[in-house]
Amino acid sequence: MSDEKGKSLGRESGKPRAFTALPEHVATPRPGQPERNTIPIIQRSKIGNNRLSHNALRWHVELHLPKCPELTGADMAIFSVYVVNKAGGLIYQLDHYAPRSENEKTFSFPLDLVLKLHDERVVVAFGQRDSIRVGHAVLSINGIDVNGKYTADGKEVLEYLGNPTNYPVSIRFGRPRLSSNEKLMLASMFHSLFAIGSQLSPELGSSGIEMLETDTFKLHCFQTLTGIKFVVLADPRQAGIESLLRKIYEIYSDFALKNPFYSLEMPIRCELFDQNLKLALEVAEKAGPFGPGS
Amino acid sequence: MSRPTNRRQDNHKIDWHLPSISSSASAHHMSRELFVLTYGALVAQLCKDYEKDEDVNKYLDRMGYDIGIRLVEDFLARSAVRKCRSYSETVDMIAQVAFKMYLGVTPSVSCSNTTENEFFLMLDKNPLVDFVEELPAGRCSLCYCNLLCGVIRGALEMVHLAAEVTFVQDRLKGDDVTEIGITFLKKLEDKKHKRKK
Repeated sequence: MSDEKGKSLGRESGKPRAFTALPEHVATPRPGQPERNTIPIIQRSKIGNNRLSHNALRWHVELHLPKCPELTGADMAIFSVYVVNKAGGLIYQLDHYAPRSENEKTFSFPLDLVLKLHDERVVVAFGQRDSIRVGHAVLSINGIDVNGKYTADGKEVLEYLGNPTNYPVSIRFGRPRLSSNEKLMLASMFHSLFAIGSQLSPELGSSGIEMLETDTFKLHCFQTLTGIKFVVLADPRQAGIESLLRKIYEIYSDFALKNPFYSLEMPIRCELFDQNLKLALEVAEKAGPFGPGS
Repeated sequence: MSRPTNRRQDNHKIDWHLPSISSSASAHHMSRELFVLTYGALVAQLCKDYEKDEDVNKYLDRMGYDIGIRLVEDFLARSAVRKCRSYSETVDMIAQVAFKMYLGVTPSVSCSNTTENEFFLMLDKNPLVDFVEELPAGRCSLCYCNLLCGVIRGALEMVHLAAEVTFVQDRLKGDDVTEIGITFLKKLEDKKHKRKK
């Protein structure tokens, strides 16, 4: 059997060159990279003969089980918190995680990545290499943040990068973060799906969606009897989210509602709410996978 | 809340290290006298500002409503109450849990003989009138504790139960007991979610 690194592939299939026969533009995820790209598995199974592709498939499945130190142990993370009001509008949002897939690299002219404007952002279209993947957006150039297709000081990104006199340039790539409009839209979409969830139920009086699970995160939702939804996105192994949701409800009732100048159903702009919420998130994270609750 | 079983244990195991202002239900620390005196000052000022009793009552009710819509979330967050399945369960919850939590008294609940949507809360001890001897002359129809009616009305509205809440009897006006009447306006239909407190 091949080991996790796949070094013994040669021994197994009898064709050591199979490794280098893979298409170059498909990046292999390195250990330490939490994102698992499942597409290469499907592509590689079409390469070569059946015996080779079967072994190649098995090898790549093993490579895709990351033993990243980040995911085993210390870094139990709560990624974000959303609070949705009765009408489905987002009234509060907090991003708590440090993005792990950002890279800053220095480039010289010409740029071997193909960048294009997509959805108001400059994204990598071709030329995936190292840890810069297709779909990553330009986050900053020479330390100056990029907003959409312009940098913070007004220069147009594609134009700037097309000009050889601006090089060498240091560009930071990463998964594009959601803009606040997108978050608003997604929150109201979730609100509708929540309602659909309860209607699809074969039983009468069912609750809406309480948990949504994917391979990289779990979304927990708690709807109060008054119709406000608290949504927490966390690492799948993070425990104690149920009690965290109840705690966030308490913090909301204390610091948002009891603030006399806060109007109901409006965006929450209360410092104390922010501070106490962050404290609660830290406590929940420290409780880790062995905490009580789900 | 659909899964109350875990909640009590969780609160014991995780120490949230939050400042004491955000403490559990049993520890709403506050000087009761200060609250009663503040309430008294509020009513006295309203009486000075408005000539008619109806106006004072109306404003007290409105203030109570604004308090009630926020207080209900605090109540729900702190007490692990489940959804109530009927109006009488709701009124029981108000009397036995909510009044106890916020005023420290437990009114007794009775149901009207005639209509099934009408309930009465009889308060033997009302902390708000601790220092009030009698209503001032010329203020015969003042509902001193009308704020409470507004609070209950606001709270019920937030959990989608429309109700009319008034003082049916008031000791300050000469009756034997103080009684709050809660009349639920809409008949309870079989809606899928959000029908109870």
